[in-house]
Amino acid sequence: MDDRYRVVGIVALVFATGVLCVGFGAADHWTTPTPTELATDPGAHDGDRAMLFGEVQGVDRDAGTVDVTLGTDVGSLEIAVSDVEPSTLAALEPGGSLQIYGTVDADSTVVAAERTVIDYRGPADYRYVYGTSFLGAVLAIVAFVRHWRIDVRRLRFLPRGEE
Amino acid sequence: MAELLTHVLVAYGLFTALGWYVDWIDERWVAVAMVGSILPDLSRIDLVLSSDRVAALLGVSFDWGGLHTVGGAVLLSAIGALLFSTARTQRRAFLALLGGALSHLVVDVPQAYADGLALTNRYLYPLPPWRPPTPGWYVSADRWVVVVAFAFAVLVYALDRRRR
Repeated sequence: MDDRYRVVGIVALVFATGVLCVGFGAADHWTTPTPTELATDPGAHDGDRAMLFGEVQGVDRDAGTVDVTLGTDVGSLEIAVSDVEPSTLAALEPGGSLQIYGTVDADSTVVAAERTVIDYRGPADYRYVYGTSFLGAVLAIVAFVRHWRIDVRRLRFLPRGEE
Repeated sequence: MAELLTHVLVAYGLFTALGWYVDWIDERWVAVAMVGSILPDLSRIDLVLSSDRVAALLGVSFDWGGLHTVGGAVLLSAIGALLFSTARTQRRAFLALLGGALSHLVVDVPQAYADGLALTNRYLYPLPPWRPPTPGWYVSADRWVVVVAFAFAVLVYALDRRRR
């Protein structure tokens, strides 16, 4: 294929990928209230069930609560999660990441957890995931360049040993 | 999302085994599929240039999470395929990249979610946001996941050597 057609195709597909990310950002993926909805209309969700992903700010083991921040389209929203299992409280540290499925209170400041899942207990879990992910990316790239050569001038990959 | 090492090892194992039955899938295309398996996590560009910042710059809603979807896998695989020069290598590159990227999404489906449902409402985009129950097998930070993926890759590697 002519290099010019390939470049035009790549530019068009990159644009389409941008459009996809715009559409994805605008789409409503949830049937439950989102953090943005809790932040913009806090009084409208009393008793609603919500599925939330929070960054852990603090853990109060005596009170059984976890303070988390939620990412919204209008900045971050701080809420308290109550009724958290003792085993979850024991494992969590600030900087961790917690999923909460529970009931929202009258002014969207407290969510009573029905069930939680710990995604990241704390910074060490993030280091583990980013570290192994880096290794994975290196492994894939090394495997690729062992078999393919990059022709930078013509923006293409060529199989090694066939030229 | 499992860590990338798991995804790359799974793609290696799947495509090496697929190569026993499909003529054209050799080590070169297994390597392309391994690259394909990291494509959905290009959504992690978010850590460098956040979706919110892009949205502010563009003045419209924007979410890099769109890359970690079926639609994102198709488009990124097509972009990757156009970096190959002949029609035949482009076709094969598209299939290998898409196979790797879809294996990534499939491996991510059975993760644990607090509401007991899979995150397919996001992964399937732009298809309808269907959410079946998730078996909840793991979360990203579970260390045993990569051990299983590594064992699978080693097993396939050994079987592959025996076939030659």
